[in-house]
Amino acid sequence: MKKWSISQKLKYSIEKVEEMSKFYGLISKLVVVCIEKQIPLIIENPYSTQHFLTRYWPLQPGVIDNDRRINGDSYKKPTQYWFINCNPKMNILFEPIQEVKFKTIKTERNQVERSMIQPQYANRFLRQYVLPKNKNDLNVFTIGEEQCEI
Amino acid sequence: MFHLLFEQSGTFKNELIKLGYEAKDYDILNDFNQTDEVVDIFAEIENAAEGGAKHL
Repeated sequence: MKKWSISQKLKYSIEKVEEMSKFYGLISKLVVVCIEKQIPLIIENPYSTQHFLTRYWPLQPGVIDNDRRINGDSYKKPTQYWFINCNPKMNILFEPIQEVKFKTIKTERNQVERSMIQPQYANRFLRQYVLPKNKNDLNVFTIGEEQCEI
Repeated sequence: MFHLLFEQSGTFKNELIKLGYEAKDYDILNDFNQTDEVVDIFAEIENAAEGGAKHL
């Protein structure tokens, strides 16, 4: 790309903007449909102050995870979560995290591998922010009354 | 019932099932042969936005 002409770069940027516009339309339509049908919806996407949704979307994320490794993932990958028709729970997990190998986006070339989420992270996220406290789970404590009616 | 869409839907689906919840995942791809419903989610969203959809 560095050796591209201005014309090539502009054509490429037009394609990228059109693609982004298409995806923005789709995610916004999904939210509108869920709001109208009162379907609880949780959306996950990368987080940065320069992220398109952070800058232009009228919705605010309910949870921003600045370092997923703290909750058992392999990557730091700041991530934001929007909660539509529901609110994030405020559960705290008191249990050790199983050790996982830390990776960085720069060192992992495989795109599929780079997007993988550790099951441990998914499990902890669900128990912290999505699911009601299970009375049999002695490692989970609730500090708020926010409900996510599923 | 939880419905998981797009990338990593399988990971969250599996964890929900382990935690005792019903869950299904939907994706246009089935790279790992674990997707419950192979669906063009983009088309489904467009249809739903216009008032008709099979799943949404």
